[in-house]
This record gives sequence, C-alpha cells and structure tokens, in this order.
Amino acid sequence: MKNTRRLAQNLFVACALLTFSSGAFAQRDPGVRGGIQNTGGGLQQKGIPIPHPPLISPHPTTGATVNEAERLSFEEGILRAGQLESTCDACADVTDGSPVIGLGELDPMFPQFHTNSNGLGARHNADQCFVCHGQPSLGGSGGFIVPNPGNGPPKQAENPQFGLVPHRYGRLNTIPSFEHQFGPIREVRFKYKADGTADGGVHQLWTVRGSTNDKTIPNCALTQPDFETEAKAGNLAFRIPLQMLGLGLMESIQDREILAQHDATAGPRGSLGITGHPNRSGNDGTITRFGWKAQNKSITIFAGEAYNVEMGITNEAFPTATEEDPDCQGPEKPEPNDVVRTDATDNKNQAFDNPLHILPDWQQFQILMRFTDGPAPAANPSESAQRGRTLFAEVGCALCHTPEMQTAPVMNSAVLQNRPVNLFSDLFVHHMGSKLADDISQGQAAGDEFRSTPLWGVGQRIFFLHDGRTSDLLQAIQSHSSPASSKYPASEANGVVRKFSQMLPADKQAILDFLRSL
Amino acid sequence: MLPSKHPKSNRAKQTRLDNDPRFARHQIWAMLLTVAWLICVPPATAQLTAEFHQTVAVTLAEPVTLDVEVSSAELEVLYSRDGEVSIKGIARASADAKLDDNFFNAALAIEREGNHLKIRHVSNPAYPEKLINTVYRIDVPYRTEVVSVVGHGKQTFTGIMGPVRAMTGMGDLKASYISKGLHAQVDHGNIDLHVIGDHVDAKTGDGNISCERLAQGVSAETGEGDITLMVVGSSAATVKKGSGRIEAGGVRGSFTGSTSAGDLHIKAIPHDNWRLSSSSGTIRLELPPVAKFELDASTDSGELRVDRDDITRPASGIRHIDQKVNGDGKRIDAHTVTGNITIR
Repeated sequence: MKNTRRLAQNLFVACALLTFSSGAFAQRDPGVRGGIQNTGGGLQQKGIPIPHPPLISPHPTTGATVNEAERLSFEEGILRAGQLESTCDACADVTDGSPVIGLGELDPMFPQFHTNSNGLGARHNADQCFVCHGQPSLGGSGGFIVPNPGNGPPKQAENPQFGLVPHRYGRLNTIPSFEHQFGPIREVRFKYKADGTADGGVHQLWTVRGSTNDKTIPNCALTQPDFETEAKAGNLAFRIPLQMLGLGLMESIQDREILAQHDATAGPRGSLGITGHPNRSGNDGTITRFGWKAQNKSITIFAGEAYNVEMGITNEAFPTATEEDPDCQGPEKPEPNDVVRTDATDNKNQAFDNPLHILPDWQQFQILMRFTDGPAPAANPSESAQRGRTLFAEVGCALCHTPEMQTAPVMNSAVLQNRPVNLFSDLFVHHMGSKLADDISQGQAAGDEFRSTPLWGVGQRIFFLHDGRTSDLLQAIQSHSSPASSKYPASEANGVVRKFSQMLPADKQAILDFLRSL
Repeated sequence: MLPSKHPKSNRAKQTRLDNDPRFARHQIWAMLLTVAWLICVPPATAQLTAEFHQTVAVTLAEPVTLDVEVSSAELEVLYSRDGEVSIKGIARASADAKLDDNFFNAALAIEREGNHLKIRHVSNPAYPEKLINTVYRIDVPYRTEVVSVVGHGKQTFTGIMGPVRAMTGMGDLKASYISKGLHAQVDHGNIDLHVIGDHVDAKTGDGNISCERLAQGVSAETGEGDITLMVVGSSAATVKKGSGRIEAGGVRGSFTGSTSAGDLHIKAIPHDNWRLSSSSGTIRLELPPVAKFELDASTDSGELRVDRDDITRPASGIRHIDQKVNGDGKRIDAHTVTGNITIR
C-alpha cells in the first residue's frame, strides 16, 4: 500500500514536471493587444473609422489641460495629417483643407479616395501622413489599411505600400519585392552610391507617372529606382514608420535629464558592457532624439523633412524638391508647395478665396504631434504583466529602455511641463552589432548604432526593429544580440539578452506580457 | 473710551489671575481649542463648489450618441480619446447660495444603453439656479453624435464626427472641427463656427453669427446682429432687422445676402451667382481684377460708386449698372433701397 502511494506521488511529480517544463510552457508573444482586427485597419475592414490620435491627458499633478488654442491647433493638425494629397494646386477633389463629406468616405477627416489637399511630389513614399501612421490609431506606427476604399465591400486590410498607395489614381508603379502584402511598410535607403561612396539617403518608392487626376503632367515618364538590382547587391537598408504619439512630451525632456538618467545607471550598465552615447546636433551640440538613429533634433524638423522626403511636399524647412523633373512637377505646383499662407496676390490660397492666413500643413502636423498623448498602456495589466515589469528592470532591459523621464520644469505649455514621460527609452544610441547594422550613419550614430526605441505603445505595434524584420516580440528581443564582426563591435545588449535567455520560461513570458501591456 | 470705574482693583485682579497656574493652563487650552476649531470646523458660509466625475467605457463598434438636456449650465463636448466617455460636472455657488455634495445627485440623471448616453440636468428648487454656475465637460470619442438642449448657458463642441444638433435658449454656441453637419439654434446669443464638414444651419434670435471654413456652406440667420462668413461654400446669410452687418470673404459658391439697415460687404471670386440685398445698408463688392462676372447693381435712392477701370463709371444720378465684366461670368445681383453701392 505504502509503495503504491509512493509510486502515485512520484508519478504526480513527474507529470507536473512534464507539464511545466519548457516544452509545454514555452514563452510566446501574446500578439497585438486587443487583436489586429480590432485596431487600425482591422477596424476599417469592419466599417469602423480608425480612432483619432488621443489628445494629451491632463497634467497628472496640476490637472492642467491644453488651452483652447492648443486644442484647436491639435484638431487642425488631425485634419491636415489626414489629408489625401493630389499633385497640382487645381487637382484636389474637394476644397483644400476641408473634411470630405457626402462622397462615401468612412472618415471625412481621413479620406481614402478623394483628395482634399495638394503638393504630392514627383517622387514620394506616401500620399498622406496617416496611411503610414495608423496602428493602432491614427498617429501610431505603421500598420495595415483597407486596399479598396470606396470600391465594394472592404477587403482584408494590408500593407498600404502593396496595392493602395502605388496605384492610387492610376499611378503606374511596380511593387518592389521587399513590400509584402501583409508585411511592414518599408521605406528604403541606399547604403552606397554607384561610385562606392556612402549614400544613406531615402530613395522614394513611387512616382506620379500615370496619375489620372492631374492633367498638367501628361508627359511625366519618371521611373522608379532599380530596387531589385540594388537588393541583389545588398545595397538596401529599410526603415519602418515610428509612431508619432507622445512626441511632444519626448521633445519636452531636457538634455540634462537624459544625461542624469544615463549617469544614474552607470554601475549596472558597466557590468553588462552597455555604454551608449547621445546623438548630437552638429550645429548647437544639443542632443537629437527623434528617428531610428535619434538623428532629428525636433518634431518641427522631423515634420518638415517627412513632408519632403515621404510625400515630396516642399516647405519652408525643406524648400527644394528631391525630384525636380518639370514634366512631373507640373506648371500648377508652385515651390515650395506648403508654406505659411501670406501671399496676398495668390488668388488660390489667399486674398479672395482664403482670407484666413493660416499655417501650412507641415507646421500644423508638428503641432498635432506636440499635443498627442503618449500611447496608453493596458488599463488592467495581468498579474504576469505586472510581474514582468519588475523582471524587465531586474534583467537589465530598463538600463537602456529607461521607464520614465521628466519634462522640463517650466515650459510654454502648462500641460507639457514638469510631468513624467513613460517612454521606455534613454534616447541614447547604442552599438547593436552586425546583425542589426544597416550601414547607414546619421549624425554621430554609426552604421550599427540605433536609438533605444521608446517602448511605449509596443503592445499594439505589429512590426519590430528598424526594418520590421519580425512581428514576434521574442525574436525582436533575441535580435538585440550580436557578436563582434570585423566591421562592428559586439552588441551592447549581449549581456542583457544572455540574462534574458537564462530566465525561466514563465519569467520570459512575464516580460513579454509586460511589453504587450505597454 | 470711557475710563474704568475701578481701574485699580481690576488691575490687581488681573495680576492675581496671571499668576494663577490653573488659569494659565485654561488659557492655553482655550487657545488650542480655538485653533483646532478654526482648522476643523467649516466656516459658517455654505459650501462653494461641488464636483461630479464619471467615466463610462464605450465600444468602438458603434458611434457614441449623446443626448443632453440641461436647464441651466454650460456644456462642453470635446474630443479626448476613444473608448471612453468622461462626464465631469463642477458647480460653483455664490456666497449666499446653498450647495452641498448632494447637488449633482439631486440635479443630474445619466442613463446608458450601450453607446447611447442620455444626460439630464434638471433644476431643483433646493438649489437656486441663478446663484449656482454649473459646467459640464464631457470628453468623448471622435465618433460621437450629439443632440443637446440647454435652457440657459453656453455650449461648446470640438473635434467630433457629429452630426451635432444643438439648441440653446440663452447663451452662446461654439463649434469647431465637426466632420459632419451641424444644426445650431439659439434664441438669444452668438454662434461661432469653425471648420464644419457638412452644410450648417445656424439661426439666432438675436446675436452675431461667425463662420470660418465651412466648405459645404451655411444658412445663417439672425434676427438682429452681425454675420461674418470666411471661406465658405454656397451660403445664405440673412439679418432680419436692425443695423446688423454681413461680411463675407472667400465665398466659394453661390451666395445670398440680405440685411435690413446694416451694410453688406463681400470680398471673393464669384464662383457662382450672388444675390445681395439691403433696405438701407451700403453694399460693398470687392472682386479681384481678373474676375469675370455679370453685374446687375441698383439702388433706388442711394449712390453707385465704381472704383475699377473695367466697369463703366455711372453718370451722376444713374443708379443702375448692368454690365459683363471680363467676358462671361457668374451673375451678381445687388440691390439696396436707400443705401449706396460701392464696387472695387
């Protein structure tokens, strides 16, 4: 009898061990919080407009909120960033800068098949801001969009660079092999020029050739770069869109706060081989912080650059076009395309048609970014996710993905000043090794260096890492590890990834759960 | 001040008491109690504010429909974020009014059925409305439709899809960044509208109407007050009586404007036909030099003034011009009974 009981006990223990061993308890990325089908383009597919960017929440201590002017500028920013761009000044389907009503659009502020603005460049990556910033809400990171707006029942949402943008208004573009139907939105840089010198610049994917809604450019014969040859030569480097949410808060962090937070972790970082350094402006020496390599100083510069590089819309900050082919720019596309509207002799924009002298789109866009809230974390994180927060710090992730910084004590806007920002980034760039290296140098960030990506909102992102190579958080973490090569030193994250790999499966799962709660 | 009848004896008594340790203890206790009372006991005047806050989770699947009826309060409906509706109320009373924590319990009723919210604030005799200023701020998702009726108080709507149907007895109405249409009706108060997607109906018994960037146009009517339209689609503006003026700039469609004794000034390219009329106000037209239009302008007893070279200046006493300018264009009819007409 005793033996039987002992045997039963042993069997129970063995079963329990088997059950809880790594095979049955393998850690797994829980996926996009709320489900892809309930965020971004997944909602569009169900006939629900993609949610608008959240307005910055009241100050957690003082209760200060945006003032009326800030609120209205934020709303104007949504309208401008949602605009669908036509090429020439007379091409827009409806009055420039107005919501598209009565024409079957799902969201009048984010039209998909009626243009309500103009200035789209001869070369571009997209024809509206939010088409690449729509996950989980407008203003978010890159996601999926319904490819057939206004044309029958909505098809499954997909990468807008696969079918929607390249062919909108009949434009004749060939889809490069690196844009996949359900893959990440990718923009491309060439590592080297044909003569072997460093390039590093963005080469826009699309041209306006074949546009059916612009009769002023019938002779446009512009062709796309030969991406396939460059791909075979290993000369392409990809970037996916970052989210715009909370960028005003990030901009409000002073350099001294960034440096102090970094200094505070010197001990543990040293033991794990993590150094990092800020990318700095070549002009005034201050810390730059926006973009995959922290290459941009401010959201204003970021906005001006994005308008020119991504949409080919020239502006005060970037006044010359990346492509100046007169056959494709047309006679009705004055340069710069998007400027403060003060020209009293311009009948189209000003004196008689538009006596309101208002800011250009790109500047309204930067105001929008300034007053969006940071991504909201899960309201009720699971017990595992709560445990994961502690483990995230213990294992060393938080040494670079700094959970919190404080904005400047006194700012022009009461809602932005002296408040915590839960960005989960040190805003430094770090050597990440040859596996992640893209061979693109920007400012003081070398070809293998990347900014610690702010992790707020990571819970609802679809793709990870600068090139969107994975949609699995676990793989993304593991990809932080890379040995030294002849060209680049080992990844600074190696020590932390090693510790992560040695964790119990349940602990790794807790960290994944925590990340998906952000 | 009267001299004491017994100054000496009082002083002596005082000295005795000061030296008494029991009395000193009593004095200290009395002081402590007074301080404690001052700190802990609320002042004799009534509570001056009361607050209410409730957050309701809503789904993205359907729009939020908000049905608000308020007897006397300010109402703000503002976009904030998706997934929730936050209702905040704050009441401030003047010094002699009664206000306590029961104020919102007694005055406010919220009913909810899915994404449909019905909010009622009714007057309660226990809390005299004239002495209490109440503000409701409702933060809503973008996809929100509103029907609101406010008896007395200002209404503000910002950043929602709409449509919005708002009525006010007395108080201003302000709306901006409404993607769909708006119907605004005010008995006494101003209407201020900015970036509305669909056609707008705006009517006030007396008050000014100001509209900016209404691409689908507006039908604006005031019993008495000014109307200002800037960058609007096909629109109509009527001032029914008094000296209220109409000022229109950047009209991008047809336009009909009518005043009683007020002036009417329009500065735009005539994309479509205009009909302008006034009883005794001046009509002033400003058109760009290259504009094409067909002008029919007349005044019964006023003066016709032309300040451009492409229109024949009328001889003295001539009160009617009918002329095509720069070829065929849209028709501009302008007529005033006793006022002047100026064309630049």
